[in-house]
Amino acid sequence: MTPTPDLRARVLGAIRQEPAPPRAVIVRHQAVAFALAFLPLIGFEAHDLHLGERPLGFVVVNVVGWALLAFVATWGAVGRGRSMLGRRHGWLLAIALSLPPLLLGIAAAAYGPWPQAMTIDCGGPGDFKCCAVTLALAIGPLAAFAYARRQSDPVHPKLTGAALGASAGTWAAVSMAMHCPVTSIRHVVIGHIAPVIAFALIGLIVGARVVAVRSRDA
Amino acid sequence: MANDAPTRSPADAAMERYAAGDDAAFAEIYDALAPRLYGYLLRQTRDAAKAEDLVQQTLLHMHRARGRFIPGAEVTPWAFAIARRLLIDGLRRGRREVLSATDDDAAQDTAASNDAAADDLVQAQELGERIQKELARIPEAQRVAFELIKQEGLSLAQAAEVLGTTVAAVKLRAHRAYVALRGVLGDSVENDEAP
Repeated sequence: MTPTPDLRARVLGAIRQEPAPPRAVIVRHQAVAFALAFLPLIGFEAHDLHLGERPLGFVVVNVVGWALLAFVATWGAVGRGRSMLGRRHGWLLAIALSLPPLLLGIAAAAYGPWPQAMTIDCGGPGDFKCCAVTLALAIGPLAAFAYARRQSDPVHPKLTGAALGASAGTWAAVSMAMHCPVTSIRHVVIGHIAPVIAFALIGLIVGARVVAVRSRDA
Repeated sequence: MANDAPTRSPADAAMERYAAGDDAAFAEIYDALAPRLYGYLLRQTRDAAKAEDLVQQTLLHMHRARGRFIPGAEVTPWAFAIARRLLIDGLRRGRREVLSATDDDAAQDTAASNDAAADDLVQAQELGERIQKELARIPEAQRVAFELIKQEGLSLAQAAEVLGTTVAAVKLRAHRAYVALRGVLGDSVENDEAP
């Protein structure tokens, strides 16, 4: 069973009409996209950064621990290993589901040596304000991740999207852990960790719409 | 350690060169993959024009993604996974009529152009038709695993990648399909189950 000779001419003609950039160009584009996406986070960090009543050790443990998680999650979700089809189903599921409890676990571990951090509170409206800021900060990283993985997953794009979303949310949570002076457990859960779950869910949609391989006329 | 590394096919090497900027390498990719993709898609769609359309879409998608090709990655499972996804998309949009129809005009047309000995050809064709009919009856997951391994020549690992599952799961699905076929077709199915 072989296709008609005409198909070869059609395909080669079509690719000549639609030039695609080689790897070197794509790498440059992705570097620019990542830089642009993370600029708001860096700007947010640089603006009005102060420790407040927070114990320094608590902040360091939280920020370093969460940043390590964010780095590993990004490597797992954005990277594809040595396969063009991306990470295995289990990997992606683990990233999407495990980030929120792991973030909470690191925060809980940091409360041990510095229990006074649990008492630094701000009341309900502050929780939701922080939640909104975290959600806003995660948009840039998710956009960069989705750009890097656009139309790249023909097997499990929704799961890839969820992992990308959770990773983006975790980077935003790292920014909040560094910047936000409120450290009560309720505030950390509602203001900093809940957006990670929200972005994992948003990632499901992004995965289906952006990461999935789709025909042009879909 | 070197024994664990997958063998680099001509398509893999050509894709590496294409990703690096060698435009002429795409013709080699086409020559290596198009007939296999076409065979797979023709079996699925039973429509030569649709199969060609899907081959074209698959190769264009690979062309657009050339800059994101991972050095050392395998091209074949990637190509089959894209083809399968586009096929499923087409099905969902109702752009094709029958996936596992028994009407096999396209296969007959293709086979008719073969100039092998008439008796052998008829026998082989009849067996092929029976296999396709029986395959159409078994669960989709088992059928697809069987087709990718036995008909398209993918390795277990490659088929597992295409289907987004484990090697053990693919092996089990293909085995069940084989057992189901053997139960119906008996001795007609060649006794070479292990891929």
